[in-house]
Amino acid sequence: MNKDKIWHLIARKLTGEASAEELHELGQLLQNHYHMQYDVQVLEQLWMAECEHDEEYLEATYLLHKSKMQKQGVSFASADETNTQTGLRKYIHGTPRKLAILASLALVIVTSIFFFGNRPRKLDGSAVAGKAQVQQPVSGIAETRKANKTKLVLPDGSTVWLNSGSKLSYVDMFKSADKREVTLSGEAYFDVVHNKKKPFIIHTSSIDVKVLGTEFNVKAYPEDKTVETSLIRGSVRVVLKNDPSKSYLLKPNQKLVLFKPGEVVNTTNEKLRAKKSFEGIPKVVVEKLNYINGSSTATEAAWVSNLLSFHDESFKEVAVKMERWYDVEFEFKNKRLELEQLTGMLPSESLEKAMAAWKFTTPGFNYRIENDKVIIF
Amino acid sequence: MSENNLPYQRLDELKRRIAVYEDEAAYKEIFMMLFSSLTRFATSIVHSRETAEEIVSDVFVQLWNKRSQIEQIQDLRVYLFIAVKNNAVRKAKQQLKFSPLLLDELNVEMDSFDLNPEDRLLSAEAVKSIEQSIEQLPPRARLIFKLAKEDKMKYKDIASLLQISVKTVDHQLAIALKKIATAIGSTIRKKS
Repeated sequence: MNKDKIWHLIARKLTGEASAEELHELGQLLQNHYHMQYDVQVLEQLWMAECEHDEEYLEATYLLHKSKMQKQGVSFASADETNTQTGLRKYIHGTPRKLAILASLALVIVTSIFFFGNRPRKLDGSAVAGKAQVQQPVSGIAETRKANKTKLVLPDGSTVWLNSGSKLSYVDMFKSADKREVTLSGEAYFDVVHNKKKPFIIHTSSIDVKVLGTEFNVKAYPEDKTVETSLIRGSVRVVLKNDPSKSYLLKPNQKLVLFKPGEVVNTTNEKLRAKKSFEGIPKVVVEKLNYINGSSTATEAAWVSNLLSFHDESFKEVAVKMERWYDVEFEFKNKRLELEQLTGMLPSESLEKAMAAWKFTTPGFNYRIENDKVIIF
Repeated sequence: MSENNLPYQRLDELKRRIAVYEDEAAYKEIFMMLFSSLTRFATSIVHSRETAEEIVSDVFVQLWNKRSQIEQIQDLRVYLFIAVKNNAVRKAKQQLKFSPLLLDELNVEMDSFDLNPEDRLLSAEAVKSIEQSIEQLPPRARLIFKLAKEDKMKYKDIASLLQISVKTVDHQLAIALKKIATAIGSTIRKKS
């Protein structure tokens, strides 16, 4: 009989969870460990000790609570209305608040502390955003694996943060006298040095982004259903590859979402869904950026600050982001969950913490981590 | 056993009185019974007693507004705890710049309990060391201990509230008791 078993039995006895057999077993055990009998007695006494109840404080709190309800127009039908009215007047202070949103067992979504920790599961010593090492490119290709990010400074002085699983090539960047060109697959945040004479052009598979000098994020993973350009400041022009006559000038705090042809996008965002129902054109939506509550960081660019943040994204989309972030694979045993919606932020410093926070704030799903696989069920 | 079940039975009766008679006295009794525990629980999430009280008060407003349906709620106490948790999490997201959602980061405040050092079983020193040992429990164990002891919650309810398994509750509680008992033991040994 291991010694910890006895503590389980004691706990179950105190909480009333113990079965008759377990109580019997505990009795037997205590006879063999009689030195523990005293401990158990003390614990029982502790367990029974009543918490202090401050009746007066509770009465006053209740009156305050009632006055709040009355200010909100909620009233009791009971007869002692006038009586309490006068009684509580002296307690009233503060202003009426709006009715709080209904608390229910329903799904409540997320958020978590802003975390500026180190990347977990680093596969090698390469750079992470925030603490990134600066690569000095001569020419060629910068590439990041999953679970890795990097920051690089281009020869023109522009800074690029390259998100996980992305590739930026800039071979021909300075050949041309009248433009600066790079090609991106994946996601990158650009802080482009202003140069009127040499516009900066980012080529992706489906769009070109032309800029003079500005800060913005381009998300163009080949496997994603959308390509997104989010503008933080300055201005950029987005040109569609398959229809060069169409170009969009973005203002700060706008993002352009391009739906790749033939993709059925599972989105919970009403606006996007409405837009999508038109077959064919237009497959482009311009939206406002989503700012993280109380901060000046846009969700779209949060990854640069090492924040794992979401806005109105389906579990599936969140999973894809996490797959890149931690270099893991997600498997949904329950397909219905894929469409659940998530807004908020998760602690980013480890997969385990992120998953625990996700689950804590989002009842109704289970997960387990097996090696490099996260199974959602 | 029966003692543990008492508040449950009482709540069922109060619930019925509210649903059927819109009985304010019954509503008040529930408020008085649970306000402190719920507030402490919310405080552990939002780290502010004032905000926590507001959250709990809001949940009670909703309870009254939905009074006609409350008989459908199986376990009112667990329902209120979960509602408070959800609102606290949302509040943390909307108004505060942080929200510690991991159990290990919760700031769990224990109610001071009335352990009488005059009692022949315990020396003042022992009471002090018990209090210290509870204080030193990891947040998760402390929260589980609190919910089980102060709020008399069942394992399965603690598990569903905290989104952990019953096995974890069982285990954490055993660890907590073991640590507290060890503290008691050490004061005894010192004496002798």
